[in-house]
Amino acid sequence: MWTLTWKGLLAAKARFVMTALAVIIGTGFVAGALTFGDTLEEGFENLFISIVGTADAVVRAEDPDDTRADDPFDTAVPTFPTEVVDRLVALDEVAVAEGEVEGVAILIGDDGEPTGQFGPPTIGYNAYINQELDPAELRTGRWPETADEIAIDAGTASAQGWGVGDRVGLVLDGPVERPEVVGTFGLGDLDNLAGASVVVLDRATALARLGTDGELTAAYAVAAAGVDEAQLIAAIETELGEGFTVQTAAEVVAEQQEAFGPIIEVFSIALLVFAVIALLVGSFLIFNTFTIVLAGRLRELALLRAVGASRGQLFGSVLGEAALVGAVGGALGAAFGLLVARGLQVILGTIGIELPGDLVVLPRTIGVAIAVGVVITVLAAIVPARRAVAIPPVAALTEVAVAAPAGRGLVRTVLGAVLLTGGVAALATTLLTDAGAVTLGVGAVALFLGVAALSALIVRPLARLLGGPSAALGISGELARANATRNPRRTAATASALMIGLALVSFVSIFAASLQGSVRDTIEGSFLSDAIVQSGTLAGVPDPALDAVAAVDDVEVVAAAAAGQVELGDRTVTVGVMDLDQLRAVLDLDITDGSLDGLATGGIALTESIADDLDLVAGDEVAATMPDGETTLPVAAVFDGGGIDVGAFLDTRTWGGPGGSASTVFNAYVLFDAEADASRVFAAVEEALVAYPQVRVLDQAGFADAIASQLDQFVGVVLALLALSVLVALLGIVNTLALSVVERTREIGLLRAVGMTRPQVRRMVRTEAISVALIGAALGLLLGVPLGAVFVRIEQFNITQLVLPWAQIAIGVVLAALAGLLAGVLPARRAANLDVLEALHSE
Amino acid sequence: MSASSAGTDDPSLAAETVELTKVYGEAQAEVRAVDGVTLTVPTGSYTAVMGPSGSGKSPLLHCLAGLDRPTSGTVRIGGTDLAALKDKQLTELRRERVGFVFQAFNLVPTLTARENIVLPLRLGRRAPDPDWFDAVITSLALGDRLAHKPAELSGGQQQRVAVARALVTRPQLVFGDEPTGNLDRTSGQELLALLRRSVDELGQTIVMVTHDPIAAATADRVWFLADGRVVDELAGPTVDGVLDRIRALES
Repeated sequence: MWTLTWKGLLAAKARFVMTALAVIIGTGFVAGALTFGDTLEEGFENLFISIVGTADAVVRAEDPDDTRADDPFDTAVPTFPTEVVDRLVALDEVAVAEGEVEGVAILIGDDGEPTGQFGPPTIGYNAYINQELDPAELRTGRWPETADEIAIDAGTASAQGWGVGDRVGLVLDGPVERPEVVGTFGLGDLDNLAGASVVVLDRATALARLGTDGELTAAYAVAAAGVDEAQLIAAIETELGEGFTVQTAAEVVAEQQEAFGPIIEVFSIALLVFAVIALLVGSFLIFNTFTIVLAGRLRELALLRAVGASRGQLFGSVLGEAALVGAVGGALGAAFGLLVARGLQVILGTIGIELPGDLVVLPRTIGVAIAVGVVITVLAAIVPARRAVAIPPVAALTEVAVAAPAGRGLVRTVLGAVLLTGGVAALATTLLTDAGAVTLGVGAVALFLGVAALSALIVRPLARLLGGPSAALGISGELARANATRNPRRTAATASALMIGLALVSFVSIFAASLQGSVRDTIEGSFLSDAIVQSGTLAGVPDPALDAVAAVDDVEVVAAAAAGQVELGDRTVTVGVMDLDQLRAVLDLDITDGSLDGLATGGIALTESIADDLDLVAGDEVAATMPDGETTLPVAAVFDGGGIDVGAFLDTRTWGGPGGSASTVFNAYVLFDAEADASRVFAAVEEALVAYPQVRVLDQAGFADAIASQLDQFVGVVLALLALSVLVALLGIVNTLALSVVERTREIGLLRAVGMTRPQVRRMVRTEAISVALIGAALGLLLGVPLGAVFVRIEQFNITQLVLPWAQIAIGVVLAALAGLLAGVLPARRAANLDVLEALHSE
Repeated sequence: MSASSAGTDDPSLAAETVELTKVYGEAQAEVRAVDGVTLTVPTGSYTAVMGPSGSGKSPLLHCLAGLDRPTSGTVRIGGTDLAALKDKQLTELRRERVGFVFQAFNLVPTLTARENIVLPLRLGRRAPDPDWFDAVITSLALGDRLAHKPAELSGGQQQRVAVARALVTRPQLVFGDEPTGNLDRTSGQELLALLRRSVDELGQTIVMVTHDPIAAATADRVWFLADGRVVDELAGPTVDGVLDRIRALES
């Protein structure tokens, strides 16, 4: 039987190329995701090791409140005096020690914007006294020696076109200044660390101006000859006593890796999600290929049955074919995965996020790719194989055209109807009750499967509906429409692959458009401020900038909004920290329960969805983990959180206990005198902030645009990844049509004989391709639009309005049709180029 | 044999060939399927082509019908030299001036009988002449079958639809390639009678390849082929006459 498998494959090798392609794309993304993750993990491990450099021990001040360790808004690092380094050096166990102060230093590009914008860290630290301990290596020039000199990372230098001798914009603790670049450096092989911009200042400047009041943030020590790590750590701990953490290099690396793990994981999981979608779409393609190829070999199978092959043997032989195709596809997919991972690195590199490391290909990755390829292909081939081997042996001896025994249509229909009903019920439940995304997700899967199962029934009416225009093409169009429906199941399976892509595209479009609409809605409805001052970096808006804005004529209120994290019950909630009076002046919150008054006396205001989640109403108390420890907060008010980007509000006096604790201010809302000319005041505010290029000032519309464009970027990335599944679906159309053309060779010969011209043949096949694509698009919209519409109603997303981006959806449909046209090109050419005589006399 | 060396646009000639040769393969494997055949098909004639397997019947027919191109020599249909035609023109010639009835798989399965019949006209974006269409349908007794798909028709009915399609364009020539080969005796005889009537009553010209002496005997004359040449011709054939010639050729 194994010989049979092999021969079967060889005979139909062209037909399996498409199947293998589908497997390659799907498994390629699985392998790419794994490789990318592994590469990041190892790259960062190496990077962390090189950052710790030659040090054997790392000393840091103990964070008095451990609860804030993972608060991304908390950039304050505990510090210690420089004398600590002297005490380390004095120890016999220490050969050499170095102190480091690290803080925020923002480079301003020649375009006036901070380098890297929001996102990548902007780090500044001091030039080392013992330069052999510095993990950074000079590439050009020298280390800075005066307050007017800096060294910058080579990546930022090349991105900005800066070199030694240039004067560049820099923001430390005050307005922008222009020191001279005297050196560039890299970390190991890397010019840059994940897009971060790094500035080295001379030691005195770093100590004075990185916000540490002359103190250090870390110290590194190298053990004296003959002293082991444990002895070194023990000696330092004894010397320094309470208030310090002393760790080995390995411990520091492990700690940083642990902090980075989840980020890498998120990346890998996101890629895997799209890989799974591509695989799902690919499985339709595989299913179709096997169905068609086997249909063409029924007589051969019947003959084999007649000469004594058992059903089981034939079934095994067909599945063997599937396994082989899957294994080959998976192996090639693993290779393709390397390209995917490398491509990701390159793409991220070009947008300034340089990630460390050469590609790490683990045997596990190749194994997984092959296994996934085999499993998917075999699973997709089971039904066609079962159907084909059910052929009675006598079929080999009869002259009548052989057809596969009809599948269990009833079972399929009933199952499809049940799934569809269940899916609709889940949608209704989501709409009518507060059941969340999980219910909808399960419903969505049921809907997809239900529609896929029933699609064979929907194809005919759909084709009739969509076929109207194709009739205008004359007989070619009519034949195309007839061809698209002559095997509804095959067309359905081909179209279903595209359906998945289109459904997801319309779903994502609706979600994004609705979210953007809600944000605009909220900004117009709730934001009373005339201008919003926003930080362009993670460092936040500096106090002097706020003071400068407050000093502008006709500016009445400058409401600084700091952000922080609080744990409420089992939820981590981002809180906006504002002065209550200012909050009231600039934000018109829609209070549904209680009153904001309670904020003044230490209360918290929560969005409805968080209050519901935690089962809280105004007047309740909630256990909270705050920056200064655990406490209980009274719930003062509950508000409709639609469009508000924080989950709760606290008064500045509540945050960090009496006296308040500083936290980073990301936004400041500015209110003008109502009598004043708003555009004049706005211009004056802009003028006042010229010295602070790291902040920008926006009016309401600009603020809404900024948020919308961030969302657009995100949607763009998602759509680009979904385009891959659409690509797989297109391969499916190419494959099905090519195989159909082979099947209909004789018919095409007849058409040519009685006078169909080559262009007419081409048009017929292309029209069929477009019809299939449009059927898939229609099915996709049928699924995606309701799913999207229901999804945005889920309360926890705080989306206040449903926006159906018809233009975008229409573009999707047009693109699907164009893609169909493209998919039809090759099969159409093949059909048109058939030799009339050979076609007429083919089997 | 009605050999002719001239007469390019003689209206009494439906088709003619001059030194028609068709060679398949190259060098050692070369096969001269049609070897220098010169013949004429008068308008309104009914010709049967016979000969053993491999004698060149089908290649001759294919070249004559514009389905295949000769290696050398000339083929004219109604005075048009096929060698001068591009693929598109050749296709249009088949569509408008030639009709085909094959042994099997004559019909497009997705189209109804009516749609199959008017297919050549639709391909040329022409409307059928209603009177002629009715005449053909009536003569072939297909009136109550027009809305059926091929799968719902018997073999004889399918072949009648094919004949109707061949006639509906009023072609200069109708080619039959074993048109009764897949039919039972009764259906076969019905079909042969139809072809005869279309010559006698509608003035159609038919060239038909067949193995069946009974079918051949319904024609006006029979060409006998062997090794790519026309080796004999019989006018006013009878079944016995045909059988005699075949035996004579085999001996």
